[in-house]
Amino acid sequence: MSSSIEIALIHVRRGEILEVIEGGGPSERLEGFAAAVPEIFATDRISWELVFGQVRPEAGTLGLEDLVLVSEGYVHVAARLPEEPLLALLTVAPREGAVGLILASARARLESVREARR
Amino acid sequence: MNPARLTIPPSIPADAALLHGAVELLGTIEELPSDATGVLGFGSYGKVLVESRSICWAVALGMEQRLTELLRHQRNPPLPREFVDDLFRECKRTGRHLGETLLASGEISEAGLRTALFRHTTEAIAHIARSGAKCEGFVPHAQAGYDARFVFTPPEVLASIGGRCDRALAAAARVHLDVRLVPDSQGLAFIRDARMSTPVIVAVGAQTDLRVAHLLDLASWASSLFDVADLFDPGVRFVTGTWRSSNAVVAWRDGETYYAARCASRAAATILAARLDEARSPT
Repeated sequence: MSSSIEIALIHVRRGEILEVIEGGGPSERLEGFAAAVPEIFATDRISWELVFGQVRPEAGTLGLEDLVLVSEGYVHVAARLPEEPLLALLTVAPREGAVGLILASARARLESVREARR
Repeated sequence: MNPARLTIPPSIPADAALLHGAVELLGTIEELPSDATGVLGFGSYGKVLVESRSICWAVALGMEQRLTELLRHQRNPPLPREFVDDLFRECKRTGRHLGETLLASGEISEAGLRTALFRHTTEAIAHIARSGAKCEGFVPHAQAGYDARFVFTPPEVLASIGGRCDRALAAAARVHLDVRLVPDSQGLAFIRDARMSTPVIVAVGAQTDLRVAHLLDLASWASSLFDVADLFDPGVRFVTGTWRSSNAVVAWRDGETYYAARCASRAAATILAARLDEARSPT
């Protein structure tokens, strides 16, 4: 599974791939996912404070942190770097294993990228 | 299914004008003070009785005989018209509550009474909404304490009106939500129709406290998200989004029906996503 996984650092607003961290050159799938990220993370059209407000009114500033998209063939993960919210780590993995394992791997990679950028 | 109930046709089809009017009317109810009890008037077109942002009763122009018919058809064969008319007269004379009297008669069950009242209320609101009548004001009154078994929330009324687009699909979506939703999640089902400017809500999960506007926000967000996802993977079945506040939204689709759920925690979203994944995994 790890041989076909792709991981890249991208700019959230531009959808531009800044660095391919794992995998060969960016695949068409990864590029398509990156290009869609600005739209996916554009959450300002909806009053999320109100949608969530009744549940957790003390939440304060809201912002979409990560998004996981699951199909029969692939898992796509977009996770913002908490310290640099204009950057996100994208993971595209074939669904050869459990989704939970793929997510755990993506989160571990996010932590190592955060650590490396400190 | 009671075959006698099928003899009552849907009297008002859902279309864009009706749904727009219904959203506006139901939004007005949700904006009332949380403890308000009274009547929203729509001139000669009808009125809606409200208590604590729930709908206790609604009536519209031209619906004089509708409740009688709906009540009669909660039994198979239908109750005699004279029986229901006599009960109405008795309630008027004695001041007794119609619901209590009907239940005491033993001729109609609590579920049957709720079904009839819900359909009447929904149809009345649909008639008012479609007429384009503007709300002429809210007249508060002191009488409170409507029977909680027979009051209805704006989201469930909206879903009932939207569900008229495809009753079988709406019924299946209600069952789907009952099975899939987990504690700490509130969800809805919707369809997309090119003739409508917004997603059409066809079902809501039990006990939802989401307002109509928020249901539409969730549906619009999920709708757009799947459109974007289709550009790089048309097979995306479900999506989980987590916010910095630890709130989360899960959206999924099954055939023509789309679903979205607001989750109060990451844990709830994870459990819901696992359920969705299991449901489609080969055994």
